[in-house]
Amino acid sequence: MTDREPDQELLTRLRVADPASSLPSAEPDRVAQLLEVAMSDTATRTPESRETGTRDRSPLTWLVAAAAVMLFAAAGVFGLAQRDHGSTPVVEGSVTQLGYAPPVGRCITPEVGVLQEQTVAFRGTLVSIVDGTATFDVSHWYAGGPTDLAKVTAAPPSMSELTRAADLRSGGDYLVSAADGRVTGCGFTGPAAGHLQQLYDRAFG
Amino acid sequence: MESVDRADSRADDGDVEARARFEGIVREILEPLRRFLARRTDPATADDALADTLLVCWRRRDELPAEPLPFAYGVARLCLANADRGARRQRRVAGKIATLDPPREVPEPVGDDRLAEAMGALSPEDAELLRLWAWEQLTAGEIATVLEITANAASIRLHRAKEKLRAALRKVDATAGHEETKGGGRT
Repeated sequence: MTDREPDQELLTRLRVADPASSLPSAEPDRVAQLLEVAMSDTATRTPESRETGTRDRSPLTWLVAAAAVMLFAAAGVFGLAQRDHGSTPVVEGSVTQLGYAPPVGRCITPEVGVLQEQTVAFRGTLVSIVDGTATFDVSHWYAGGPTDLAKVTAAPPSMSELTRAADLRSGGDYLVSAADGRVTGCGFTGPAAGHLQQLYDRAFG
Repeated sequence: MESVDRADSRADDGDVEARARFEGIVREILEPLRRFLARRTDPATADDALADTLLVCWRRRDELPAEPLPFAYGVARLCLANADRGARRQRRVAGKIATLDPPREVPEPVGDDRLAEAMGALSPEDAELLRLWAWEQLTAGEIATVLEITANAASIRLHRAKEKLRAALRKVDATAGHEETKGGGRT
């Protein structure tokens, strides 16, 4: 194979220039410490496992969260998220571009298993909603990315529907998930709080 | 009470087993993970990202595949990006950055200035594909796991990235040759 030779040449040249080739092995004490810190984490599979755990939240927060869950459940009757197979999120520079189309058919209740199938999932602050584009400053990627910003672009009626269903407000923190390049509605995308935050923690923690 | 004790004992056994298994996995992936991070960030950030990566891997230990390294690289990549993003947000809040954040300083290839310049001319995505291929020595399928793309997409993008690096090297070589010729003419 003639095209393997230049590959091998390139590979050799890159490997010789590996900046980590002289990295000394980790100190055994440091390895033991890292292991102990990781394995002393007892929050595995519990909803409050992340740094954004819910233990300090007030009863009012839970009330608001419960209301949000009811809103998502109500939005759920409008139908299951529409999925066009074959499209993928477009990552340009430091922006992940996503689309959105209102769900058709029946929604499924947000659950960990479905969330884990999402190819994009992040927590971010909604910076703006302008001309059919919602821009998020991403603070944490659970899946996909990683880019600094994520933009969701949709036709005005679709964006209005998403704004209502996910209660989008500039300055708020949101959990957003997407599959096949499209944001998933049906309660899988919404304010970063309460039950939805627990679902994301369990799905990606 | 005896049955409760027995249940506790079983839970302890399971815990011991899980810890032993995880320790075995970590001893296998730790050094490759440390090199992965050292190739992409400064030592302090690499150390933080390593701790975060192991924590996430522990929490997701039931999902670790039989070949855990590409999965762990994918986790490390996200931890690194989140660490970067967190630091930048802190600086933004502090008002130290007015507009765009500078990209993270990624260590360059060492001892080969022309290669470093050519790699620097590539997009971050292409450079990352080449690092995964050459330095982590991953196959296209494994790269796909790290980047959460299809194996086919990884293969195509890797092929293109190699072509772009060759083209960038030719350009750097031509520029250097031209300048050497000019320099030789003056003497």
